[in-house]
Amino acid sequence: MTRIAPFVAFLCLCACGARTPQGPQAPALPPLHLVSFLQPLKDLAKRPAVPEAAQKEVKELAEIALQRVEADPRTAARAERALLDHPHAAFALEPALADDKPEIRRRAAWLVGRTGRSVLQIPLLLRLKYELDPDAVLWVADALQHLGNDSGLLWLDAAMGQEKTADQAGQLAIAICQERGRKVSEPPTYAELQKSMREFDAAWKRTGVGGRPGVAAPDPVELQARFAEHLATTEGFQLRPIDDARYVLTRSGRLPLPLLKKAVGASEQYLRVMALEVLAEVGPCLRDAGPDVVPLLGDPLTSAHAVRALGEIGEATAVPFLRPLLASLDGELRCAAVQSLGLLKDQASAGELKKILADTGESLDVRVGAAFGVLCLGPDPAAEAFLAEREQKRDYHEQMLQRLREKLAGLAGTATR
Amino acid sequence: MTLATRVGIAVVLLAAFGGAIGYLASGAPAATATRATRWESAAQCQPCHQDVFAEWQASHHAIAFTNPEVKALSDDFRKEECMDCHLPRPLAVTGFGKRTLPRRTHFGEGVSCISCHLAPDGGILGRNDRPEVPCKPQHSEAFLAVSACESCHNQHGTTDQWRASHFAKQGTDCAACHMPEVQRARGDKSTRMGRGHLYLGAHDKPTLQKAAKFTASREGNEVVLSLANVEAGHNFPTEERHRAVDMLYRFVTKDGPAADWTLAHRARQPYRDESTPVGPGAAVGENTQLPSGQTKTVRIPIPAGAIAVETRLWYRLTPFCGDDSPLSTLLEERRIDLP
Repeated sequence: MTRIAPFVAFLCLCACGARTPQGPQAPALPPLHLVSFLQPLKDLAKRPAVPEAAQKEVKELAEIALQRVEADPRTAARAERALLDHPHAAFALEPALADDKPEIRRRAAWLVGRTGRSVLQIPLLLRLKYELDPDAVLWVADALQHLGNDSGLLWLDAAMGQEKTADQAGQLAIAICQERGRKVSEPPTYAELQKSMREFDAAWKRTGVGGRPGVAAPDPVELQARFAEHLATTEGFQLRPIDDARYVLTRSGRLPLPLLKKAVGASEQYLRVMALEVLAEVGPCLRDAGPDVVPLLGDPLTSAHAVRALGEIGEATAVPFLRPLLASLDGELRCAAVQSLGLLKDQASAGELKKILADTGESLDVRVGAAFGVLCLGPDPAAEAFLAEREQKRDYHEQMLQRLREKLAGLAGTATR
Repeated sequence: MTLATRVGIAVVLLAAFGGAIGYLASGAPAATATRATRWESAAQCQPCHQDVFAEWQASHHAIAFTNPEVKALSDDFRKEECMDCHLPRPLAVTGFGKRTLPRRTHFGEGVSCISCHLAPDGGILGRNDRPEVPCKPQHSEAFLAVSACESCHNQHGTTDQWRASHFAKQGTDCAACHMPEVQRARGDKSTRMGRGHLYLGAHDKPTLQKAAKFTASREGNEVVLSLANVEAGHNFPTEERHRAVDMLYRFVTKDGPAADWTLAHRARQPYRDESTPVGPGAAVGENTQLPSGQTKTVRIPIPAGAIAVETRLWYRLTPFCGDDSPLSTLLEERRIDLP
């Protein structure tokens, strides 16, 4: 009997088995401490007034430098130099970026680019948003890259495809390639210049840092003030300033990171949401904000935004917190989680994602997201067929589907590289 | 019975006992568990509320995210802030009267049943507590208040305009005009009173006609055109800056119309960066929308030879459209003979 006792005990254990898992259990989330950030933001946004004497001085210099008034070449050159060296040059140049006359705007953009004050990329970005003159756009894009922001390079790429602007855009692109040590054939073709612009743009999006060498870092206090001014507009109901804020914050690379890290902990939900949306839009180059975002998974208002942001920035440490959300009662959360787990390459969730994809009782939004998540993890005929069926039947939001497709194509491209 | 047989029986019995324990310990089979209803889509409301669903489907709330006009103005929602109100998460979840948050699901439903009726706890909000019906609505004062509309409709100051009006003082709220009481049939053939879900407003001619009173008269050597905001509890027009109300006139001689239609007055809020006035007599940047209870009067000298004046009142969804555009609605037309 003693010989068979261990065998019997083993059988009993096998028969009893372990308790069937009821789905992944969420580890304890880091505590959520939200503090009011609107007033500190408004305080940060305050900038010292430009002294009256300096205002008068730069206005006079700008009149000549912007060629609003005629001057002999020597006077013009001296005025231009004096303006570019003036610490308050922006006082006259920023309004000129929105002048009625396109030639003044072009000149203003060129001058702003040559000030070397990289904080002025913020007003230039807004100009990029609103500029309608095809030539002025080129100068704004060039000025931006001079100040360490490569957001405008795709505008140069596009302009090289237009007969009217191709020549000017090509010349600017050649100069950019030379400054960055990019070898191009002699004479260069538009195709290779365009390819270079796209590659510089891709590098900018990947790193959040402009590719032009030797650009001085922006003055941190003024930079923070300008970002704070934009972020604080989200308090209001007026949509255009909020859209401006989003435009600027999503096109400034890594620069807004310190402010975004603080904003995700704001007790004002609109500040948290804007910060999370910017993180999701900009992506992995803002990954350092990940630990600040994780506690928001416990915030019912913004957790779906947080899930999305964590996936997009690639915060892999968030995976254990995201897995249980696949069973959330909140469809927004499930929809965000299926995508983010895919983006975070969580192979352990593959089975669950496939199960959700096949669940006809699940909402179409979540199933589309699951198909995306599965395809992020690798080729999958069922997920591919599901997305193709949506495209064919046109029973899902087409732009969203297209965005997911583009994202998948981008991920495939990254994997290939 | 040999030892081996006895051991075999013991093993089988023990295994069966252990298996039963294990089965019970693992919980009830999933098939017997009912999943709590997740209220996520307007489609879930349709089976029980077909008439309300049909009204909502015919409303601009239903097409808030798919309306071509909105898509054009929002650059196909590349201006993502527009999504906050055109594809909102449930308002009670984000807070009635507070800024809304956008959702990324149910794109075809715009502002749906869920947007207004879903409670923060996942239940359903309504006018009355009805625990006996499947969705078990809970009475909510906040849900019935103006703040429920405010999150989206104060984007352009509409509920602020209402607060400043006599409608607010007398307690006539948004629903009184835009969601009037209607009779609803119950399943047992009895009836009850409910709220309409068509949200009639800028796209409904009778509603627009009811909002304002347009008059034209002769006073001495002048024609007097007058527009009074009598029934709108907010500015007329209100909401988006491109909504416009135009008073036009043309004099008629014995040979026919003396000239083309002339704009006497345009009621409209300009865009922030508009460099010209919205209409005659307005300053650059001036908001000429007509506040609730107020009247705008324009006096036009009668030219020599005029035998009549024709006047028209137009409502335009955008100021950039002409009279024959489907975005223009002719509200009133008057002719005064000038003997």
